Amino acid sequence: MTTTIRKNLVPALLILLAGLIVSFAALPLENTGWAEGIRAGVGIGGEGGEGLVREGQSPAGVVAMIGPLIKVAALMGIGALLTALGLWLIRMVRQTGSGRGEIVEGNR
Amino acid sequence: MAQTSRKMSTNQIKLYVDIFLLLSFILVNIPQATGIPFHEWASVLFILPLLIHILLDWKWIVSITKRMFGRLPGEVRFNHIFDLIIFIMMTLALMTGFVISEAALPALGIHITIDPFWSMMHDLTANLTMVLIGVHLAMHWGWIVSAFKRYFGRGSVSTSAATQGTD
Repeated sequence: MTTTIRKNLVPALLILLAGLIVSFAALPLENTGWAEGIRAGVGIGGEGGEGLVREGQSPAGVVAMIGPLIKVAALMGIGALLTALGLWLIRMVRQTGSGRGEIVEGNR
Repeated sequence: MAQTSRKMSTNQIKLYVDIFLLLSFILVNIPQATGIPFHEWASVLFILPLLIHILLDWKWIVSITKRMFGRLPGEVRFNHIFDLIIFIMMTLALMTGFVISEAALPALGIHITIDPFWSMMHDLTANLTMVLIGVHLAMHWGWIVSAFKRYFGRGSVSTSAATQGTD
């Protein structure tokens, strides 16, 4: 157990450090014109995140969980489907390419 | 001998961590249903399984990083770059979540004014991360299916069965 922790301590700290670097690198974004534009559009102090159950409010029931779950499933599904399609296309192109290669080889 | 067979393989640990990570990821991404306080505290706790998930593949990450500019199969190179993008996106989603915290930080005595820019960035990075996780799952679908078949499928050698066998 101690060995496992010792072995993983440096990589874990490196990962956390990388996370901190990414976070601090993103902070200056709040001073860009883009950020100003968003603030001007929404209004400073606007909370955003419509439909959220805020502190003090009781969380939604099981039925109301379906909507957010559908959103998560849809977004992840889009990524997965696009990847599956991309991988299928790559396989098809490779197969066609290798098929042509065989014909050329045969002609020679 | 029994102790050796009871020991889980790295792949088995990876599968259990990944299942837990995916379920936590889904739970963390439905604040409309769970409520903001749960969403924020669960997101803080989510860092731990995420860290373990990365650490379990640390050797692979180091090895591929070293060979990044050498000869590598296209799929491996893509996965490595893509994993880095997911890491950046998840970090940004977490960071922007801290910056617009309504429950976790106030509970710790830190009160902040919510900036609509970071609020918008949080929604954007969280939604993008969901799409990227979909891609990540599809890229590793072969491993997921084979690991499930191996450890949960019919005729799979469970740890208890293996232990019984050796005992």
